[in-house]
Amino acid sequence: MTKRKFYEFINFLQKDHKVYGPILDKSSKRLLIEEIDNPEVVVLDGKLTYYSFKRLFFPACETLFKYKNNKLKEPDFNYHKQVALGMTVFDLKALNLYDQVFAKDPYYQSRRQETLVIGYSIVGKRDVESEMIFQSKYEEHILEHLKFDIFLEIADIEELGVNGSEIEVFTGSYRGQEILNDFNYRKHEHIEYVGPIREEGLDKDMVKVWKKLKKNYLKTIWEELGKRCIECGQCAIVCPTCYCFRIDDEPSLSKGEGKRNRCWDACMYHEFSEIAGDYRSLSSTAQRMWFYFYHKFVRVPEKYKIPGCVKCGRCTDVCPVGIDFMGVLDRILKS
Amino acid sequence: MFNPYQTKSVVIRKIIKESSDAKRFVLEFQDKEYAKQFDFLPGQFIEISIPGFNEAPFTFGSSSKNKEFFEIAVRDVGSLTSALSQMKVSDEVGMRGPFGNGFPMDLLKSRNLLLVSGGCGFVPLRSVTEEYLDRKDEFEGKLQVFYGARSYDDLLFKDDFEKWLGAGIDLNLKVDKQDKSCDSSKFKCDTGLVTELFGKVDLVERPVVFICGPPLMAKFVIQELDKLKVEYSDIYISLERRMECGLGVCEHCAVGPYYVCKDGPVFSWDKIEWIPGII
Ligand SMILES: Cc1cc2nc3c(=O)[nH]c(=O)nc-3n(C[C@H](O)[C@H](O)[C@H](O)COP(=O)(O)OP(=O)(O)OC[C@H]3O[C@@H](n4cnc5c(N)ncnc54)[C@H](O)[C@@H]3O)c2cc1C
Ligand code: SF4
Ligand code: SF4
Repeated sequence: MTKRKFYEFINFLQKDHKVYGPILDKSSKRLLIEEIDNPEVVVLDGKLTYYSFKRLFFPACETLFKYKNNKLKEPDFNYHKQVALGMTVFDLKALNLYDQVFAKDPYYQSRRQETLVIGYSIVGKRDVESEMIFQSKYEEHILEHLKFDIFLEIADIEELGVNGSEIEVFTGSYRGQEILNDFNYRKHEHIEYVGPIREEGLDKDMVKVWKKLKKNYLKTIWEELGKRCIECGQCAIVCPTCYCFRIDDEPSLSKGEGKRNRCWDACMYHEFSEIAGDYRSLSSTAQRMWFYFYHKFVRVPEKYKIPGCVKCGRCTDVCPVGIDFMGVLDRILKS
Repeated sequence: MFNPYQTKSVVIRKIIKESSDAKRFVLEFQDKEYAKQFDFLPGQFIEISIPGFNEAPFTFGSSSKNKEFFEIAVRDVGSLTSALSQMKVSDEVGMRGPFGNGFPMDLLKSRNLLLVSGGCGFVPLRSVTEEYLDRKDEFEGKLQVFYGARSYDDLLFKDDFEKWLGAGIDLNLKVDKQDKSCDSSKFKCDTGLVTELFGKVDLVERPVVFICGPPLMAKFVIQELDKLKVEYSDIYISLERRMECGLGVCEHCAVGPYYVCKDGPVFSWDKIEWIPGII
């Protein structure tokens, strides 16, 4: 596909979808996921967006019910059709996890059904920063373990002239094929999804971390991190695989009416585990740090047989006190 | 698609004041068809919903053999519990559940059972006791109860004590401070901590132990049981954790590799004893 054709394709999708993708925010210099108006501003250069795509599937706050007196009224689940454009391999791995975690969640599932997923990766020469992406692209047969509708292999979009035709197009679903055919583009190859688990099983390093953490509370590591972490919760907010939430009622001004909302939460907050009597089962920052890692590296792999961390590094990038999460993994492995 | 957050309406049929800050609610489903197929195990819990006051988890306090209604007992500690305590007979609340695993009642077929509890923790153990009485012909084992509270007033389910004694249950009560009502009651009741009963009372032979109560109490009870060489795999404890969903998704109730709402709230001690901060 040429770059021009790709822009046309986005315009085509915009007819009945809201298209969300990475755009550079000038003031913060961050790559944010915004609704796309002009396709030419989409940045697909291999760099990760600051926030993950999770809000498109599982918004930071959503209304589960409107209530009137004792009756909880469901929404009609008629969510707007949307496109999640520019999901990296990291983001698609996280999507595999949401699909399992929220398998029985009607809110997630309805939104998911209305979402066209377009993943991409960069091939060819890259700078050091996006080296990670480069590597994950070459994880063998990775695409057949990811769920997407369309996947683009881009040979550096910045350097492509508008007529350069170095975007290879893959489809991962019937919906992806159909929409490309409707757009009258037929040069796509289909990749059959074979499930999230790779033939060789879980990532070897992940398994090592899992075994190390499973029955050991690595006191020195958690206490040292606990002294540094200021419990801002940013790591959980940017992390594509953090999905904790709380449910709260929001009464409106009319008596007996309001909304029951589900909003993201973060296990670094001290009230996360609070129960009556001011008792907190996670009683220190150190314990909450442990809880964060334990969730990703023990509970998730045990329950869903896939890693709970996609190694995107967003947590490290965002942490105001400079905690290097990947470095923590190394320390766990060496402990 | 089934919405796991939707609630079923239950009507309050009766309210019984159990102590200065706790009430028992007899609840009945409005949907009679639903009521017929509704079943639970002692130790399982439900989420009670009062729109405007969120939801909160409560254990069943009655026997599952009773099909017309079920009971919960609630201590007023905050927003939902206080709204509930102000409700009247015939008012409606929402509920969803049951959730969790419950106590392994079938062990009573061949084993004696010791229940140890403090304060509001007795609610699920009342369910165990009532279920024991309802299924008595199935059970060989004896039932012994150690139950403590701050004061005699704080002991819940005092109306049941006589019936329980009559049925041969060995009931032992403790209150924290010297209390006339305790001293003058017709039950075995004296001052001190529930843990002091160990050593004073003859334990039923080779018991399975169910514990539910404040973490500190649980800690000392387990120490006592350890001295008595009770196997950790024979000790079952019901844990309290913050819960939002009850479905094993929100992560609030996770303990080590488990979820209290799904894998618990009842755990055998050998499974969880190693987890930091577990009680
Ligand atoms: C499995 C389980 C069974 C329980 N069974 C009983 C029972 O039979 N009887 C009984 O009286 N209580 C029981 N509880 C405790 C009861 O759920 C809390 O007292 C109740 O959630 C407080 O709600 P609230 O809205 O009144 O308090 P809030 O106003 O919300 O807050 C008061 C305090 O309760 C804590 N709290 C808030 N939400 C929760 C929550 N979802 N889970 C736990 N604590 C919370 C808050 O952090 C705060 O410290 C049980 C708890 C669990 C987890
Ligand atoms: S690297 Fe950090 S942000 Fe990325 S998935 Fe893992 S924990 Fe989450
Ligand atoms: S971003 Fe850093 S400081 Fe903030 S909660 Fe996470 S680890 Fe702690």
